[in-house]
Amino acid sequence: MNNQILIDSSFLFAIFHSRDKNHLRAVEFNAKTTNAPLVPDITLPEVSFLFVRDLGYYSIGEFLAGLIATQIPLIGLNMIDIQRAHEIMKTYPDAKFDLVDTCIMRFLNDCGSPKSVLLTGEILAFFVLNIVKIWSCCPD
Amino acid sequence: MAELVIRDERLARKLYDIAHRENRSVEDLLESLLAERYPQSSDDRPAPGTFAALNWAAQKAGIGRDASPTDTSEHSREILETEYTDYLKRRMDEQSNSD
Repeated sequence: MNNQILIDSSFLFAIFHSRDKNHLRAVEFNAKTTNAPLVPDITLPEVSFLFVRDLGYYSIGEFLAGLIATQIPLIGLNMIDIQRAHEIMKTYPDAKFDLVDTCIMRFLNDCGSPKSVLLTGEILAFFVLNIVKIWSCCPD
Repeated sequence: MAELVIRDERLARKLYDIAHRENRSVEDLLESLLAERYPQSSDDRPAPGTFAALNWAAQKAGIGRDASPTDTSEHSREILETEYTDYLKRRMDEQSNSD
Protein backbone atom coordinates (compact mmCIF):
# COMPACT_ATOMS: atom_id res chain seq x y z
CA MET A 1 0.00 0.00 0.00
CA ASN A 2 1.25 3.49 -0.78
CA ASN A 3 2.05 5.89 2.02
CA GLN A 4 -0.61 8.41 2.81
CA ILE A 5 0.42 12.06 2.80
CA LEU A 6 -1.23 14.74 4.89
CA ILE A 7 -1.68 18.04 3.10
CA ASP A 8 -1.38 21.27 5.05
CA SER A 9 -3.04 24.63 4.38
CA SER A 10 -0.17 26.28 2.52
CA PHE A 11 0.21 23.38 0.08
CA LEU A 12 -3.51 23.29 -0.64
CA PHE A 13 -3.50 27.03 -1.25
CA ALA A 14 -0.42 26.84 -3.48
CA ILE A 15 -1.87 24.12 -5.68
CA PHE A 16 -5.21 25.87 -6.17
CA HIS A 17 -3.90 29.43 -6.64
CA SER A 18 -2.38 29.40 -10.09
CA ARG A 19 -0.37 32.59 -9.48
CA ASP A 20 1.11 31.60 -6.14
CA LYS A 21 4.89 31.51 -5.97
CA ASN A 22 4.92 27.81 -5.03
CA HIS A 23 2.18 26.70 -7.43
CA LEU A 24 4.48 25.08 -9.98
CA ARG A 25 6.54 23.35 -7.29
CA ALA A 26 3.36 21.88 -5.87
CA VAL A 27 2.18 20.79 -9.34
CA GLU A 28 5.53 19.09 -10.01
CA PHE A 29 5.39 17.32 -6.67
CA ASN A 30 1.87 16.07 -7.40
CA ALA A 31 2.89 14.82 -10.83
CA LYS A 32 5.69 12.72 -9.36
CA THR A 33 4.13 11.17 -6.29
CA THR A 34 2.01 8.05 -6.30
CA ASN A 35 1.15 8.26 -2.60
CA ALA A 36 -2.39 8.88 -1.44
CA PRO A 37 -3.29 12.40 -0.26
CA LEU A 38 -5.32 13.16 2.85
CA VAL A 39 -6.67 16.57 3.87
CA PRO A 40 -7.29 17.32 7.56
CA ASP A 41 -10.62 19.14 7.57
CA ILE A 42 -9.34 21.71 10.07
CA THR A 43 -7.16 23.20 7.34
CA LEU A 44 -10.13 24.18 5.15
CA PRO A 45 -11.18 27.33 7.07
CA GLU A 46 -7.56 28.51 6.89
CA VAL A 47 -7.29 27.93 3.16
CA SER A 48 -10.65 29.63 2.64
CA PHE A 49 -9.43 32.65 4.56
CA LEU A 50 -6.26 32.85 2.43
CA PHE A 51 -8.40 32.87 -0.71
CA VAL A 52 -10.69 35.58 0.65
CA ARG A 53 -7.66 37.63 1.58
CA ASP A 54 -5.99 37.35 -1.83
CA LEU A 55 -8.84 36.99 -4.30
CA GLY A 56 -12.07 37.92 -2.57
CA TYR A 57 -15.06 36.07 -1.23
CA TYR A 58 -16.15 34.31 -4.42
CA SER A 59 -12.84 32.49 -4.80
CA ILE A 60 -13.87 30.27 -1.86
CA GLY A 61 -16.58 28.79 -4.05
CA GLU A 62 -14.10 28.09 -6.83
CA PHE A 63 -11.71 26.46 -4.36
CA LEU A 64 -14.42 24.28 -2.84
CA ALA A 65 -15.68 23.20 -6.26
CA GLY A 66 -12.14 22.20 -7.18
CA LEU A 67 -11.65 20.31 -3.95
CA ILE A 68 -14.93 18.44 -4.40
CA ALA A 69 -13.83 17.41 -7.89
CA THR A 70 -10.67 15.78 -6.51
CA GLN A 71 -12.61 13.46 -4.18
CA ILE A 72 -9.62 13.51 -1.82
CA PRO A 73 -10.56 12.04 1.56
CA LEU A 74 -10.90 14.42 4.50
CA ILE A 75 -9.96 13.41 8.00
CA GLY A 76 -11.67 14.96 10.98
CA LEU A 77 -11.03 15.56 14.65
CA ASN A 78 -12.46 13.77 17.62
CA MET A 79 -12.21 14.60 21.33
CA ILE A 80 -9.15 12.37 21.76
CA ASP A 81 -7.37 14.35 19.02
CA ILE A 82 -8.17 17.60 20.79
CA GLN A 83 -7.03 16.16 24.13
CA ARG A 84 -3.73 15.10 22.57
CA ALA A 85 -3.37 18.49 20.87
CA HIS A 86 -3.85 20.14 24.24
CA GLU A 87 -1.12 17.94 25.74
CA ILE A 88 1.30 18.88 22.96
CA MET A 89 0.57 22.58 23.56
CA LYS A 90 1.21 22.16 27.29
CA THR A 91 4.42 20.18 26.72
CA TYR A 92 5.87 22.70 24.26
CA PRO A 93 4.49 26.09 25.37
CA ASP A 94 7.40 28.05 23.89
CA ALA A 95 6.76 26.65 20.42
CA LYS A 96 3.33 28.37 20.37
CA PHE A 97 1.75 25.66 18.24
CA ASP A 98 -1.74 26.47 17.07
CA LEU A 99 -4.59 23.99 17.04
CA VAL A 100 -4.04 23.05 13.40
CA ASP A 101 -0.35 22.28 13.98
CA THR A 102 -1.04 20.15 17.00
CA CYS A 103 -3.89 18.30 15.37
CA ILE A 104 -1.70 17.45 12.38
CA MET A 105 0.89 16.08 14.79
CA ARG A 106 -1.85 14.04 16.37
CA PHE A 107 -2.85 12.64 13.00
CA LEU A 108 0.75 11.73 12.29
CA ASN A 109 1.14 9.91 15.56
CA ASP A 110 -2.12 8.13 15.08
CA CYS A 111 -1.47 6.97 11.53
CA GLY A 112 2.06 5.82 12.28
CA SER A 113 4.76 4.63 9.94
CA PRO A 114 4.65 3.47 7.18
CA LYS A 115 1.05 4.41 6.58
CA SER A 116 1.34 8.12 7.04
CA VAL A 117 3.91 10.86 6.59
CA LEU A 118 3.62 14.61 6.32
CA LEU A 119 4.69 16.40 3.20
CA THR A 120 8.41 16.84 3.79
CA GLY A 121 11.62 17.08 1.86
CA GLU A 122 13.23 19.59 -0.41
CA ILE A 123 10.24 19.98 -2.71
CA LEU A 124 8.22 21.42 0.15
CA ALA A 125 10.91 23.53 1.69
CA PHE A 126 8.38 26.34 1.94
CA PHE A 127 6.75 24.35 4.73
CA VAL A 128 9.94 24.50 6.75
CA LEU A 129 8.29 26.11 9.77
CA ASN A 130 5.74 23.33 10.08
CA ILE A 131 8.24 20.60 9.37
CA VAL A 132 10.60 21.82 12.07
CA LYS A 133 7.77 22.00 14.57
CA ILE A 134 6.34 18.65 13.67
CA TRP A 135 9.54 16.67 13.44
CA SER A 136 10.83 18.10 16.68
CA CYS A 137 7.78 16.69 18.43
CA CYS A 138 6.96 13.65 16.39
CA PRO A 139 10.08 11.79 15.26
CA ASP A 140 9.45 8.73 13.13
CA MET B 1 -2.57 0.75 -40.10
CA ALA B 2 -5.28 -0.33 -37.66
CA GLU B 3 -7.96 -2.72 -38.81
CA LEU B 4 -11.18 -3.68 -37.07
CA VAL B 5 -13.03 -6.79 -38.26
CA ILE B 6 -16.75 -7.11 -37.57
CA ARG B 7 -17.76 -10.73 -37.99
CA ASP B 8 -21.48 -10.23 -37.50
CA GLU B 9 -22.75 -9.59 -41.02
CA ARG B 10 -26.02 -8.11 -39.81
CA LEU B 11 -24.21 -5.57 -37.58
CA ALA B 12 -21.75 -4.70 -40.34
CA ARG B 13 -24.61 -4.11 -42.79
CA LYS B 14 -26.44 -1.97 -40.22
CA LEU B 15 -23.39 0.22 -39.60
CA TYR B 16 -22.78 0.57 -43.31
CA ASP B 17 -26.42 1.50 -44.00
CA ILE B 18 -26.54 4.14 -41.27
CA ALA B 19 -23.21 5.64 -42.38
CA HIS B 20 -24.41 5.65 -45.99
CA ARG B 21 -27.70 7.28 -45.03
CA GLU B 22 -25.84 9.99 -43.06
CA ASN B 23 -23.38 10.40 -45.92
CA ARG B 24 -20.26 9.63 -43.93
CA SER B 25 -17.80 6.83 -43.34
CA VAL B 26 -18.29 3.98 -40.87
CA GLU B 27 -15.26 5.31 -38.94
CA ASP B 28 -16.92 8.72 -38.57
CA LEU B 29 -20.13 7.09 -37.41
CA LEU B 30 -18.36 4.98 -34.77
CA GLU B 31 -16.37 7.96 -33.58
CA SER B 32 -19.46 10.11 -33.05
CA LEU B 33 -21.26 7.27 -31.26
CA LEU B 34 -18.25 6.85 -28.94
CA ALA B 35 -18.09 10.60 -28.29
CA GLU B 36 -21.75 10.55 -27.27
CA ARG B 37 -21.30 7.56 -24.99
CA TYR B 38 -17.96 8.65 -23.48
CA PRO B 39 -17.66 12.45 -23.46
CA GLN B 40 -14.14 13.85 -23.76
CA SER B 41 -14.15 15.25 -20.21
CA SER B 42 -14.07 11.80 -18.67
CA ASP B 43 -11.21 10.60 -20.87
CA ASP B 44 -8.48 12.74 -19.35
CA ARG B 45 -9.79 12.71 -15.79
CA PRO B 46 -7.38 11.01 -13.39
CA ALA B 47 -8.46 8.58 -10.70
CA PRO B 48 -10.33 10.39 -7.89
CA GLY B 49 -8.61 10.91 -4.56
CA THR B 50 -5.08 11.09 -6.01
CA PHE B 51 -2.43 13.80 -6.33
CA ALA B 52 -3.04 13.65 -10.08
CA ALA B 53 -6.69 14.52 -9.42
CA LEU B 54 -5.49 17.48 -7.36
CA ASN B 55 -3.47 18.80 -10.30
CA TRP B 56 -6.33 18.16 -12.71
CA ALA B 57 -8.90 19.95 -10.53
CA ALA B 58 -6.60 22.88 -9.83
CA GLN B 59 -5.85 23.35 -13.51
CA LYS B 60 -9.53 23.11 -14.40
CA ALA B 61 -10.47 25.63 -11.69
CA GLY B 62 -7.82 28.10 -12.85
CA ILE B 63 -8.19 30.17 -9.69
CA GLY B 64 -6.29 33.45 -9.77
CA ARG B 65 -5.32 33.07 -13.41
CA ASP B 66 -5.79 36.80 -14.01
CA ALA B 67 -4.50 37.90 -10.60
CA SER B 68 -1.13 39.36 -9.68
CA PRO B 69 1.59 36.95 -8.52
CA THR B 70 1.55 36.22 -4.79
CA ASP B 71 3.79 34.58 -2.21
CA THR B 72 0.99 33.86 0.24
CA SER B 73 1.77 30.14 0.66
CA GLU B 74 5.29 31.01 1.73
CA HIS B 75 4.05 33.33 4.49
CA SER B 76 0.83 31.52 5.32
CA ARG B 77 1.86 30.72 8.90
CA GLU B 78 2.48 34.33 9.87
CA ILE B 79 -0.61 35.50 7.95
CA LEU B 80 -2.77 32.96 9.75
CA GLU B 81 -1.27 33.86 13.12
CA THR B 82 -1.97 37.56 12.71
CA GLU B 83 -4.53 38.49 10.06
CA TYR B 84 -6.72 35.40 10.45
CA THR B 85 -7.52 36.08 14.08
CA ASP B 86 -8.28 39.74 13.26
CA TYR B 87 -10.59 38.57 10.48
CA LEU B 88 -12.45 36.17 12.77
CA LYS B 89 -12.76 38.82 15.47
CA ARG B 90 -14.09 41.36 12.95
CA ARG B 91 -16.69 38.87 11.74
CA MET B 92 -17.77 38.12 15.29
CA ASP B 93 -18.10 41.86 15.98
CA GLU B 94 -20.15 42.35 12.81
CA GLN B 95 -22.34 39.46 13.80
CA SER B 96 -22.98 40.80 17.31
CA ASN B 97 -23.67 44.30 15.93
CA SER B 98 -26.28 42.98 13.55
CA ASP B 99 -28.06 40.99 16.32
